[in-house]
Amino acid sequence: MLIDITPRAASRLKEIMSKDSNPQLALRITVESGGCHGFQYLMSLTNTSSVSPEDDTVFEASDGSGAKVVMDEPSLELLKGSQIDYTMELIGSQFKVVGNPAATSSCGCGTSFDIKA
Amino acid sequence: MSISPRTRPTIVRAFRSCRRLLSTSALPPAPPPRGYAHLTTRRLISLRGHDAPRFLQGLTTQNIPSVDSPSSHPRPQGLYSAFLNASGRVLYDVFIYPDSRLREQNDLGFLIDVDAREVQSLARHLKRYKLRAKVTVEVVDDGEAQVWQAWDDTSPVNFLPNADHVWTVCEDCRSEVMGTRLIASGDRKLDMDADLVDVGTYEVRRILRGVAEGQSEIIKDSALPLECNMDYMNGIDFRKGCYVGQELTIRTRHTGVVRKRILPVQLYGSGVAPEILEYRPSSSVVIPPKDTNINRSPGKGRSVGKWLGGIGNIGLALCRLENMTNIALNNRGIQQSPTDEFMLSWLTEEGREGGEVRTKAFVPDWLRTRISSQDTHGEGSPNG
Repeated sequence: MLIDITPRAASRLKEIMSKDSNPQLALRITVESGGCHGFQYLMSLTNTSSVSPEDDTVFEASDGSGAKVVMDEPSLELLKGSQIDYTMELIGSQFKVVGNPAATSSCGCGTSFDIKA
Repeated sequence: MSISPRTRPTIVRAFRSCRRLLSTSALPPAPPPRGYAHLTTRRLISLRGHDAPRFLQGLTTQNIPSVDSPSSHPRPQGLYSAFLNASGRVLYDVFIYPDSRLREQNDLGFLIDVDAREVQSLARHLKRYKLRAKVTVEVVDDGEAQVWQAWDDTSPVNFLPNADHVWTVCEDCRSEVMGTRLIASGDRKLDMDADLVDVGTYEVRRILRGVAEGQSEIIKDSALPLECNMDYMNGIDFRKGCYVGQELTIRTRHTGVVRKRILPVQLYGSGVAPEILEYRPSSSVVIPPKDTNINRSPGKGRSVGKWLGGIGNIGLALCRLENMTNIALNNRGIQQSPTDEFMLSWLTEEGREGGEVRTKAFVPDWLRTRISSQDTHGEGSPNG
């Protein structure tokens, strides 16, 4: 199973890791129901020490930056094959899930999406 | 015809079987002024767990009372609501009741009252959104709990019976003319001081009042909530936060005009159009196939409505208000001419006879009042 972490996302995560001087830092992405298209992404920063060995999967960027992304089982089901990006726009900079193959449509603001039945 | 040739055969087949049913059984009697019925057309789903209110809040058009809302607000006993798909079309029309049985167990939960034929499908829909939410979804066995409706047209006060095995009693919030909705335990017959009638008689009463219910009338993935009058039937909270299908619903409310609505119609063969909507159990009018277009007669042109289904000489149709009623939209004045007549005609298909019948649409008083009160007050509040 592959999740694509873009170089921009990896370098941003690395930046946060060194700023917080926390090598255990990871980005947790969760999917929960809500938003106008039924499912939404929730992003949070977590520690690899709080990762559950049964439920969670940790992805590490292959570029050696040490950037890590954590997903739980049900969220991974709906996120596999996606790309994790860090976008810098006038409205603000944020981590973003792009190109989710499970999503069939998404709402205007992009935080909420629908999946195939 | 707006139905694609691919879907048509199924519709025709479905209709044929229902016609057979009608020809062997007589039409249901007209509703008594004071009656009650077990709604075998409805089933219940139990949704319980700590996250249940928040979970439902994100999926339905109605504002679900949260656990921490101030207790000074009386909790509603039942809410009318709908589940929509992401593009704003109705999936299921439902009632949502707080599950009063769970109160003693210090647990949270709801009973969801849905079209009996869609109960498994709604349960799957709920499970699809479950993810990590702490909720359990279970279809309630018919022997465990049942949906009933009671009404008393002889009294202005709603009929509120109280019995041991009735768990929930609530006013049917769709319209004051509908009566009372009840959830009763399924192990006993409900005994009330009124006439017990079959569900068919409830359906007749409901159609006469122009209230669509279930997915044979509120077509799944196609019907729009405002066209089904859910805005006037207290089914949509326009101030609540995000839920599935909100985008189109709120935009239509604030920037659009609802040109088509579901209305009760009467079918008649020949002669003059009926003055008042009246159900005749002895009617021999042939019910048109579902989705038959309604056209102005005589004359061609764009259809002005679509037949949804009915019993005997009455039914429900999605009607263009400006053409089929004297309701004025957008301050354009009344467009309808009182001499207009409307015709449903259908062609021979798969060995079935074609036919035609005239129809007239009626705007129920409760609906007319609500439409005109919204006009005078202008559009409600800014969206949330």
